[in-house]
Amino acid sequence: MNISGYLLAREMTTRIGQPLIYLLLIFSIALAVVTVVPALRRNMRYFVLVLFLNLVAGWLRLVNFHYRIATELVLADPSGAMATGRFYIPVWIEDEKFFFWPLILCGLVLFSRYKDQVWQTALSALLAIFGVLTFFTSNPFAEPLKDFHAGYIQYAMTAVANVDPAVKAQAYHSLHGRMVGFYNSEYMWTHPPMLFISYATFAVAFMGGILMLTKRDDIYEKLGYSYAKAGFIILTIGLLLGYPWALTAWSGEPWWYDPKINITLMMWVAYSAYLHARLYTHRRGMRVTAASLNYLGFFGVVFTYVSTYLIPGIHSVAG
Amino acid sequence: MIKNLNYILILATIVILGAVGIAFIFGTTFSWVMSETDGLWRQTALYQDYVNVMNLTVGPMVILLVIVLGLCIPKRLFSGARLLQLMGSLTAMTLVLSLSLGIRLGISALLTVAMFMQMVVIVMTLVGSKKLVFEVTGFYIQIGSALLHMGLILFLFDLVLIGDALAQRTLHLNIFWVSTLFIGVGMVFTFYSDELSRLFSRGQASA
Repeated sequence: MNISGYLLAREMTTRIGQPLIYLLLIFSIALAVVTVVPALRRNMRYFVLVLFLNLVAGWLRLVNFHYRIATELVLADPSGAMATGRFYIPVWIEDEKFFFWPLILCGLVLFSRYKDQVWQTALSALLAIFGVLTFFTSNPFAEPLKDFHAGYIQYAMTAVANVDPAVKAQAYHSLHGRMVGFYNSEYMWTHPPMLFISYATFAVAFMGGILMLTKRDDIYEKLGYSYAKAGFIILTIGLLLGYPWALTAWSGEPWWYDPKINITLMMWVAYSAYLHARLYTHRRGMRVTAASLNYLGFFGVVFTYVSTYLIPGIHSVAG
Repeated sequence: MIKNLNYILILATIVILGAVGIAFIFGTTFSWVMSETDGLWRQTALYQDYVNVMNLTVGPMVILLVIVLGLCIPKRLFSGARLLQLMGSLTAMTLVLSLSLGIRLGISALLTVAMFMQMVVIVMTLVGSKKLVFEVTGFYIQIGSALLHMGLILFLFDLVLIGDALAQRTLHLNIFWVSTLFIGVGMVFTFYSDELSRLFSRGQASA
């Protein structure tokens, strides 16, 4: 175990990341200005590109930090002092979640094949909002992996302290449980990122719904639908992948009807109903129904994300 | 007539899904209020009461959803009066078995019949049978829809009949993975049928 190497990597992540997150705020505000000033809009894609590169740079720094965690830190059994494992932590936990989501959204905006200026402007405005929100609510560089760090430092200090072996064993088992069931779980590498990717596509689909309403042009509804169906596939597979994980990780605990699971299922049924209604938009009333379900679904996306921080439960960091 | 029947089934699905969504919103709001009132309420008997109420609310809607799904399956194989007769028989069978042997067995019986019918639909779609009744044309969308419905039936069957008890966890998860595969592939084929048709026809043309 090389704690000093890890601490150095963590400090470097803050040193490199903090300027990047301030740049993210500046570029996001600049992008917002570009979207509202018509004369500047022809340069909009350059601003999106810069924002994308900024997000990618930040994310690569986080990847490097996680790589250093995997190479520098071990979790050793205090009874035999044998190395029992390393931490292979995905780059979308704790405050990194809301960094990953705008990164995907930015990629979707940048690589959107439909170049209509209204569409590009609306998506850029959405991206600018996400960039500002990331800065104010979810900075992953200020205290990188705060919870993991606190847990590991506590374990490491207990391991070298002159304390009862039972206390050492307890600190080890506590972190080992999280390592096996959470940090290193194969589901951690599949379930959350699929959900975040789907959230990003639903944000674009929502924008399509808003534009259809304001511009009264079917093309935006069709664009929104194309993102919603992609998002729905990813969301469904992502949710299903969470099921076997829940069975093992929360065995014996009451996880069914947990608030976060409730609201996630609400979101899924809303999008499922939207896609069903979308098949019959030529029928009376179904167009409005489909659009309303699209909005309800996105309300579900936002609430699902926010509920993690607001409503206590097994799937939550609140309370 | 088949178009109207499809529309009615889709409408029923939307209404039931909407009702399930409202029930989940109620559950979340209730949990939130309870957590604010008593942080440890999940350790009290009140939590079990909440789970029971949610089961009582969501359970019937899920059963209705299963029935609608079960009724969606025969429409590929039959049409007109025969379809209506079959749908009536399936509903009656589910009701009689549910009342006499319990809801779990009634629903499982419906899902078993639907599963066999869907297997026939998949095989007939694969061999390009013209006897199937699809309101959409194209191989990928038809096989996609068939696989997606099969996946949903398997998933529900697994959940209702097998369950997640530790003794049969392996079987439960094996069926779960098969259903996930069917659902995933079915969705991709259904939503991207045009793209897949273009891709493979281009491949054939260049070959």
